[in-house]
Amino acid sequence: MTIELTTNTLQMCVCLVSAIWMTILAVQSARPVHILMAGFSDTFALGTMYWTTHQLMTTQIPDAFYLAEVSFMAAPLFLLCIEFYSGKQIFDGNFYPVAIPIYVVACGLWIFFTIDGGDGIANAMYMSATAICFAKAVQNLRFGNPYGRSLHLYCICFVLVEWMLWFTECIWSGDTWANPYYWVDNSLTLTIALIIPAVKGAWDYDLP
Amino acid sequence: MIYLENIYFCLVAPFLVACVCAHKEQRLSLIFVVYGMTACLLSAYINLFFAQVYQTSILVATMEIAPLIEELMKLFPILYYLLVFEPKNKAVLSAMLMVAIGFATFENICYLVEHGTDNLQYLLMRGFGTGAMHIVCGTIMGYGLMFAWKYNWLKIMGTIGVLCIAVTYHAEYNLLMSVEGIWQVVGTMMPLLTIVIALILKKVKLK
Repeated sequence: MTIELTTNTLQMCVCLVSAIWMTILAVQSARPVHILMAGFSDTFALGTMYWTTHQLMTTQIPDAFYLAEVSFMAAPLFLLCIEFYSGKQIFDGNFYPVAIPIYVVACGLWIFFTIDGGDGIANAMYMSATAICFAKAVQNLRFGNPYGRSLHLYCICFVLVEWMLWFTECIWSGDTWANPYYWVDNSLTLTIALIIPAVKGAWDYDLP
Repeated sequence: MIYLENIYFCLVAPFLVACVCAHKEQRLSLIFVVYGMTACLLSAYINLFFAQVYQTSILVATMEIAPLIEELMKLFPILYYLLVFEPKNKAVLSAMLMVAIGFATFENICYLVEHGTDNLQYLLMRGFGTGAMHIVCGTIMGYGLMFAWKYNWLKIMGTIGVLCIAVTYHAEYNLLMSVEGIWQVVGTMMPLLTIVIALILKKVKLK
């Protein structure tokens, strides 16, 4: 079993456990913010499960369409909903001049490294969604409801780890533990596992 | 050669006659079942078209293209129903389930005609596997749309998110069923396992 398959299998198991646990918490709470977090963890888990089982069963990349991308594209949409509507009542002009150059530089670096037809478009969309999510999460962390801090911190961590994953994927290659990509991938697994403490830390929080 | 269109007309005819005779509430359910069968037929054409465009085999199209096409086709009438008629929440779930039932039933009948009725094991897998999977996907989308359309701000992103969950679930099932052996057994059990988990979650909610 290659290192990539090992890390993906571990990630799939952690994602599935987190998704089921998060869904149970969401059903118990019935609050929109928890249901949206369950949606995020469920979509990410399904995408990881499809990608990993495809690798395990066929040992090759998909022929026509990376169907797991559908789920990976949907996952940040749930976070975007939470972050965008958490800050509905926040009006602060000082933050935006900082966020916009960060967003533009990040998009540009990503497109420079990975543009390749349809993949490039999908990745640009994903990066745009995560960048906006990041900007709103930082804003909500600074000026928003203190009860929701752990959720906004979780969102920031997730986006940062995802971006690190893409950069390491572009620069380094090789199927050894010396490749930083696999360490960052394991960090992503840890980040996914931290969704439960993040939600429990913001148990009394709800969207305005 | 199997003439899917002929099977379609034969199946749909009694439903259309029943629509004329039925009460208003029952008529809507019958129309959605008919649409489910129509969606199945149209999905077969669209899947074949994209298989030709991507120059892939039918197996690859089943694993990678069909889930997206089929779930989109199932969703379209429900979106129209939501936008135009603004139904109550539970009516959305009922409509989605009827579409899924029509879809699964027509698909299973086509497989029966193509492969015959000899192999009970295979037919049980088709019924409790593929048929149940379509119902589970319909239920996921139904409950998801019920939640998302309660809030104006969540309608668009919620619909996209729910569609993506159903598409990936469907794709995972197709992927597991494409390889014989333990993977196929896991795939067959997947919808039933999901239903068991859902019933447990329902009990958790009631407590």
